[in-house]
Amino acid sequence: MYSGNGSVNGSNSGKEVVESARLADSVTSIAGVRALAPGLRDLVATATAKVLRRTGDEPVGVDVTRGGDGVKVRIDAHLDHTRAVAEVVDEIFSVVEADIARGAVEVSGRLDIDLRVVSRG
Amino acid sequence: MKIFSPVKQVRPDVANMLTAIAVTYDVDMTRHDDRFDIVTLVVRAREGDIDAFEALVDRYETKLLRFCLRTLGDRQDAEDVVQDTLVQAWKSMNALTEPAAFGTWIYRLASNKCTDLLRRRMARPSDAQDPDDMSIHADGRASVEKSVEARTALQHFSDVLQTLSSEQRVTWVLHQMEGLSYAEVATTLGISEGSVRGRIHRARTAIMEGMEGWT
Amino acid sequence: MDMNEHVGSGSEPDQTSDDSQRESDAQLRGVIDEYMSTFQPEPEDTAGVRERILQLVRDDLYRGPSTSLQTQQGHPFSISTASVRSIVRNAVDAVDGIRARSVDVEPAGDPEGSAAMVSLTVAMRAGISFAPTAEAIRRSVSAEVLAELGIPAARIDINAEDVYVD
Repeated sequence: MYSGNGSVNGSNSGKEVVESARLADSVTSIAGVRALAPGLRDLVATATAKVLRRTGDEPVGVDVTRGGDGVKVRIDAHLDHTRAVAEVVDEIFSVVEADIARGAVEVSGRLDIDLRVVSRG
Repeated sequence: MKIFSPVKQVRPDVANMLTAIAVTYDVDMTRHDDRFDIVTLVVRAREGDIDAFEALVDRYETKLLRFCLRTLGDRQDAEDVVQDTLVQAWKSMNALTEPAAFGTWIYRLASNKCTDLLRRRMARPSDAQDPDDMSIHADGRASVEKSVEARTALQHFSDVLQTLSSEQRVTWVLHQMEGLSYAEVATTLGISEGSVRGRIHRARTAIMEGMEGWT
Repeated sequence: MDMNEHVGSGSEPDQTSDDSQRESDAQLRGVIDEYMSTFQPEPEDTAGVRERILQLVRDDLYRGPSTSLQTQQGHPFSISTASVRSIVRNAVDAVDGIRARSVDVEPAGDPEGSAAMVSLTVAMRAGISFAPTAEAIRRSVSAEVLAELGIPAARIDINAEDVYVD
């Protein structure tokens, strides 16, 4: 497990990449979530290797970043038709909050969950 | 608490169209989108309805591809132009002020791209191809031939087409092969009917001279 | 360079040369027809181009505009505007004799985004009665938006802008 600190090439440190991967696992297992934005699978599979090459503009399904006043979790999700959008959204929020409560993501300060439904199909 | 707005009445002029309007469309597809009129498809597509856009692609792709094949004489170039044209159409559909004119508009986009490509071809001296050295193969690809072979009228005709200016060639194909009238060609290309006549006249002259003795 | 590009109709050939042109067209017709038949797109060609176009268009759609809404539990999210319009369109198309045209969905309610304000234009089949049909559209859209989006429609404006004949 990568244990370095500080950003290398882009906006995230190794810790945040790992946290992103954990959340991604949880979110993709929610019924109604078809996929996360492309690129995340590669990131999850080779998180360690990728950290050193990572640029800020790669599309990620889940993106954990730390700013001045807290933590921002950005999620780009592709949903299917099986459930109402709001229902899936509520579940994504509760899953992420539960993960945070369990320590999967270290949060000090504000938590901002920025969720975008990219497509529904 | 739900509040519904009052229903807006049908405009009187729309009501009068009840007996006057007949909208035609293709009927061989199963998806309902494919039976929609052009205006509905365009309005929906420009708001992000990808199914409506797909129906438009289905309706125009083959015609456009055939036009580009005839104008450019090269399969890869023709495919590239059709792809670029339809993707550009998707991205800039808000520029189309009259949805009913989609067909003319798409032909204009394709014609402009064909003209640009032909100009670029002709401007490259290293690629300049002497008509006498060229022949078309059965799949429509033009290539340089080292040896002079017995030529058919068809091959010679294709060579003669290469010598037309890009504007003449595009205009002539639209009229002579796509079957558009002078007025329709003028609207498509955004030029005057007089310009169309002039280009076709000169193209004809060049073709007749080039084909002398071959037909 | 085409000299006549900027000239009006002054360079039009006269009627007799139109006739001679038709004659020369007839002579060339055989060759022209043969040339035209050489260039027939194969189904595989059109299928390939079609797939590439739709993929590029889909990618473009993913980067398109978003609508900001909020669940009844108060969780804010944004959703591609195309997806929201699609939900409304399907509800409108489901009504017999109606085709959705333009669809606009704006966040409404308090807090903003907890409800949706819908305006739409439609084409209707010739002969159907607008008032009861508009009722049916409103019911359909209201139910679909709630079921698929999970957010109530606060207002539904409908404008019939065209008529079609089946």
